[in-house]
Amino acid sequence: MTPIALASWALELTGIPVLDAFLSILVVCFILINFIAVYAGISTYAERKIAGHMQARVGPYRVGPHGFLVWIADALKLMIKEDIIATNTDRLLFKLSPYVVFAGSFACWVALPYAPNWSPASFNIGILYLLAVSSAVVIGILMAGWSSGSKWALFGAMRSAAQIVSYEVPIGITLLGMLLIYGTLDMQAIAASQAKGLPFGVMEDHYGGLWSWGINRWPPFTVIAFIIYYIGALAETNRTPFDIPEAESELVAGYHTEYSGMRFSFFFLSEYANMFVVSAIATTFFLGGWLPPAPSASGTLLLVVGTVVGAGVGYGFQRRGFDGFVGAMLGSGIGALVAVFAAQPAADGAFTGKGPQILEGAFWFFSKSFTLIFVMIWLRWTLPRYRVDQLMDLCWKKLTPLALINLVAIGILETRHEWWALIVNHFKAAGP
Amino acid sequence: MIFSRHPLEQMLILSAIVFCCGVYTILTRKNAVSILMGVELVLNAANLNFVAFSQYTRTGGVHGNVFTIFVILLAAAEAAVALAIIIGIYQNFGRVDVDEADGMKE
Amino acid sequence: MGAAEIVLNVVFYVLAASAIAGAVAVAASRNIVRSAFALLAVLFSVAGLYAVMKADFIAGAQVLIYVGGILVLIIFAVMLTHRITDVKLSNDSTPGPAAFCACLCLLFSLLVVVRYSTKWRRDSDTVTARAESFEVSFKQYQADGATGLAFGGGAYEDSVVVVATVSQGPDPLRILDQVQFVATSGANRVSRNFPVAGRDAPYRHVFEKLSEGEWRWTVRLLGRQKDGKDEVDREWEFPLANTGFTVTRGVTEPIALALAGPYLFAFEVVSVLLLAALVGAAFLARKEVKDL
Repeated sequence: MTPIALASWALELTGIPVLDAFLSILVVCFILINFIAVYAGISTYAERKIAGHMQARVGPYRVGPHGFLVWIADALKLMIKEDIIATNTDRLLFKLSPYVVFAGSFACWVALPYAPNWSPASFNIGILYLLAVSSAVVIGILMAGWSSGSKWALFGAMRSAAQIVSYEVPIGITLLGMLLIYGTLDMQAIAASQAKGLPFGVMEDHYGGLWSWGINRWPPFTVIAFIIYYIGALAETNRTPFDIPEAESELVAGYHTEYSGMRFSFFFLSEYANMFVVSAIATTFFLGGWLPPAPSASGTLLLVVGTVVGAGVGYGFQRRGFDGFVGAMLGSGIGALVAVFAAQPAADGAFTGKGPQILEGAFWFFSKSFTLIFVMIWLRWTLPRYRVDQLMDLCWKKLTPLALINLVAIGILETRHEWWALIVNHFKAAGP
Repeated sequence: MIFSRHPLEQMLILSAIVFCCGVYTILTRKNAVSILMGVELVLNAANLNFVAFSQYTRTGGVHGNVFTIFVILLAAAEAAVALAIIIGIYQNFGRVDVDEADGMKE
Repeated sequence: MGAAEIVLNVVFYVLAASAIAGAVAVAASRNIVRSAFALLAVLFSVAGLYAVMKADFIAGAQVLIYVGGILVLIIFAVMLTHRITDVKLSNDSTPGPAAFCACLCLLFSLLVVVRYSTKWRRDSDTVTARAESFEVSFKQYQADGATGLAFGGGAYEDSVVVVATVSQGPDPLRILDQVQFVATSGANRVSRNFPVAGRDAPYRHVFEKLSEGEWRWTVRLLGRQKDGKDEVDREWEFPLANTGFTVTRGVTEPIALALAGPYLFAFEVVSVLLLAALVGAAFLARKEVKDL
């Protein structure tokens, strides 16, 4: 049952089916928009807090416990701020562009696989839809930059559009390689098909937990694909080290220089919404989507216990050049190695999701996605910014060729049975 | 009148209107980029017809859809080359009006 | 008319209106950047119309390539070929009453052709099968009930409409009670029984929510045969060879099969052309290197 079906069941108010259909769609959109707003608020808090701790500060501390409520105060401030429209703007497009940008990133959220069989809308062409709809963001950014009537905004928009369009190429090619493995565009089916199989195509019927995930399917190549995708995702969301479009020291604030108040917050929302979307796509394609890291509850428990014990032991031996983080990595590594041999689920439908499995799946999906977002924030406060020419150089001369080689390699590996049959038949035909 | 599930006739009328807008753009604009936009309108109108007719083929197949894919790909190639040419014209003449790019006359 | 159909109608008219408004704005706007953004409305509406026509893959490709690629290129070209610091960019056009009249005539003739001179609906194939004195003639239609679906063809949705007539020859010994349509696809089977209607009356049924796969038809007549004074239950089966249809989810898979099959050569030619266009565009747009 999809959330839309659920909403239409809950909303048989009018009794007129058409009206109910529209109403239920509206309700789902309302819930999603509110979720995005809250998620974006909390991520700004997280970003500021993480930045603070990384720079040996405390970060926001005054509003609420440990400053947790600061995002609500920020939102209130943005809402009641004066909405300024400069004289030299194209008013219609200036007012329209925040909505175009936000619609582009919001529309992606309806196609994400949050839990087993649980997407707001189930698309046959899932990933194609996601890639297509997110391109509306580029148009919105160009619209904003041009209609502002300001050099900073225009240069920011041109840089941003060039960057996003360029990095769509390696991203598209890596995802194409992964699609060769999955053989479907449907996000739910992609997530579900990562339940089985071990690396290098051995034991294709074995439930291997995290060893069955996309990233482990053909080790060197799929890992490279993940790294290329993640770099491209950073560039697509204009995050450091690729935040040239809004480089403060050069361009004031990039394409949203002239915006204030609510319109500015729409750009802001869509940036954070986009971060989640690219992380969610990475999770679905490479990290098993809503699948747990071990095929059974005991295996998952083992993994978690291994991580915690490893962290504890590492913390205990801190003095000998061995800290909690390394310990946790080692512990979870050992746990993961053992978890492959955890009890196999009884039936194929073990992960199709009924009852509590929806919550479980949503838990794993969100924790994986938020981990990737955490890494994005981490990188922002670690790496310096690229120059424009270095950025284009990286995209066209390094990532794109690498992605192409990767695509060919995965293609050959995935069709190895056919190649093998071809070779064997050749020798059979030539033999005595 | 509300149509049945497959709105073929309405789709054809719509694409005829879009097609005529495209032709009008091509005929009247001086700016080369605008003319390119007109061409895109014409191609889109044709694509609409291809997809609309697709379900009326003998085997109910996807031949119209495949043609649409080809048209979209060709439009991409055409736009890339045309815009490169337009930028070349701009570098030579300082404008992109098609009336003024008449250097071949001399 | 069901809810889904009304929603589809509303969606169609909204999309059509925005496509036409966008197209008119592209043709008439005084400002070239506004024209470009009006083109965005047209492209998105056309993508939506593809989705209405069940061509989901085409809709995705349209947005991905047209909006994400071509339109961005066009906007870049506008910005590179004008003094863009001025927001009010002019978009000269030769005032053309002649062109306007020509376009009106073109539109009028197209509309006349669409409306009056062609019959668009396509009827189904008919297959006729006999068993003893009974004759069954059988047709299948797409979900709208008016577009014929050729035997072996692909259904556009997961439902198919069946129309059949049964005629009984002059044979008083055989009495017909029920007519049964059966569609099978692997282990899946759906069927529908009708009580016998009058002579040569059509039996019509909509089979809905069919699973993916190739479906085959069987028609069965259930009845009795008089054997002297006794009546014996009888069954007459019409296996209807070479009928049937395919249900696929979306058009992605059929398009992939078509591109890798009958259109393989065209596909390769187009990809070579794209590569040539890429190289050519990069060559044309590069900066002149003066001192070599």
